[in-house]
Amino acid sequence: MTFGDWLDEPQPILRLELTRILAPLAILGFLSSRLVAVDEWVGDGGFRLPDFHDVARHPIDVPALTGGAPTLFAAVVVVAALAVSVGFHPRKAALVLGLAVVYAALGDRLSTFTVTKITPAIAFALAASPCGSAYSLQSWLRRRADPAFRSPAHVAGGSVRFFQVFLCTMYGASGLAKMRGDWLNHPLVLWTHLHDNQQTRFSVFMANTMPGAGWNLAQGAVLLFEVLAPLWFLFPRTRTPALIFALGMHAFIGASFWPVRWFALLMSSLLLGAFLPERVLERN
Amino acid sequence: MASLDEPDDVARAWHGPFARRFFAGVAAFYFACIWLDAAGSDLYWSLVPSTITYFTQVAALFPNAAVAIIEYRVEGWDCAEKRWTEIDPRPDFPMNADNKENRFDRTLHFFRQNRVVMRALDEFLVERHDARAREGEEPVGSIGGIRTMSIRVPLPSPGEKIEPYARLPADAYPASERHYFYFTPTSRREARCGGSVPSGGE
Repeated sequence: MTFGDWLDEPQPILRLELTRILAPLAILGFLSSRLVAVDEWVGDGGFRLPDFHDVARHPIDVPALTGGAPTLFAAVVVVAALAVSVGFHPRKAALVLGLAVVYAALGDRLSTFTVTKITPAIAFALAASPCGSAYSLQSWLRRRADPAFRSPAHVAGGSVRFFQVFLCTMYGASGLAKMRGDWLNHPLVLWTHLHDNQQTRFSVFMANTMPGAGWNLAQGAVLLFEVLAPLWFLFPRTRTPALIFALGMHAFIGASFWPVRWFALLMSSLLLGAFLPERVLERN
Repeated sequence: MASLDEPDDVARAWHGPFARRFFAGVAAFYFACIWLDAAGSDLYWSLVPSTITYFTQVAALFPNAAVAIIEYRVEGWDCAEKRWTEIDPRPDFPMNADNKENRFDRTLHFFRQNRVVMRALDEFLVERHDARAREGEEPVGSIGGIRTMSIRVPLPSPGEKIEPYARLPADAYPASERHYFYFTPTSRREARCGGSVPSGGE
């Protein structure tokens, strides 16, 4: 099988549509705290970084929105994300969502996190895919107009491959960054992050019950998973155990660090679309 | 472009080899950027525009151990009382007000050593605080400047009893855990308060 064959190999369309349905909801959940304070986020009602040169953290100066524009911006973001999720002109809506988040990310470094930075890539990938061809409002309307119409059951592999490789890249690169950081020489990296104002009742409970060796073991397991993620997801035998481990890891992260829950949900939604076993998807 | 008219059972967004190659190339470049950023490649940083590197700094999640439980706080120079008193920045930074994803915390986390940003924060907080103080909406009266700090509480060890996090007043922490890094220059505080003030950040 050539690379081109692998890329084009038809995939169950539910893979793409699951991502299209779930990811925008997780993104919207993440953005909700920004949307309720939209004047602070993209408007001129909050603190704005001055014009200064910091290539890494503040690459360009983007003007704030004024007057009623921030509210309009918030409405556009919400409508676009929901339109993607329900499948109403999802490709155009994904393009709008991606561009809006690019603007917000460049305009406000202070509220920009991983979710903000990966949202454009996810949205543009959806915009470039045939998402919405099935399990969507669009296909439902089409079927109402033409009872003979049947949604396709498969999708050309490229867009699904994007999300699969994206996840392997995220985990593998994250493992690499951890190795370059403290994860190989500090036995309690996870433990050290449990104590600040991101803490939850669950993390307090875990901190009070799990012994140091448990944290050490969890750290090793996470590092092993992330560094070798491309291999775990490459081989059919390890793919489903890797999916279960990754979902468990994100559930733990979301339950332990409350503001991070949206990232955990976003990654989980991508994981389900990308790596749910085919037999599960084809039951539908 | 739309896939719904596909005669077969496979949805496609684009037709022809050019689109496939184009998108595969863009995706490969994006993935390479994420890997190179995580690897700390200087070449990557020097060759790729910062507006792109900004969006590819996504994989370094919790790479280092925390060295302390760190919080950022701010005090205002109370013009009437002539002393530093803690003020609450959260009304002016309502987004994620109670956790460290708050924009005030992020400003100090990233830019506490950047004098241009600290001056801008100074102007912003004094103006906002004093506007509320004039309306009687602040427990602390008009302020002439700010003093920013981090509170760095030592981490507990595994096995120690962990109490749930609680936000305490800054002065509840010992002086050894409070680290100041910016204060409004004396001349500026004098100009705002309309009288002499002690010099420095004391």
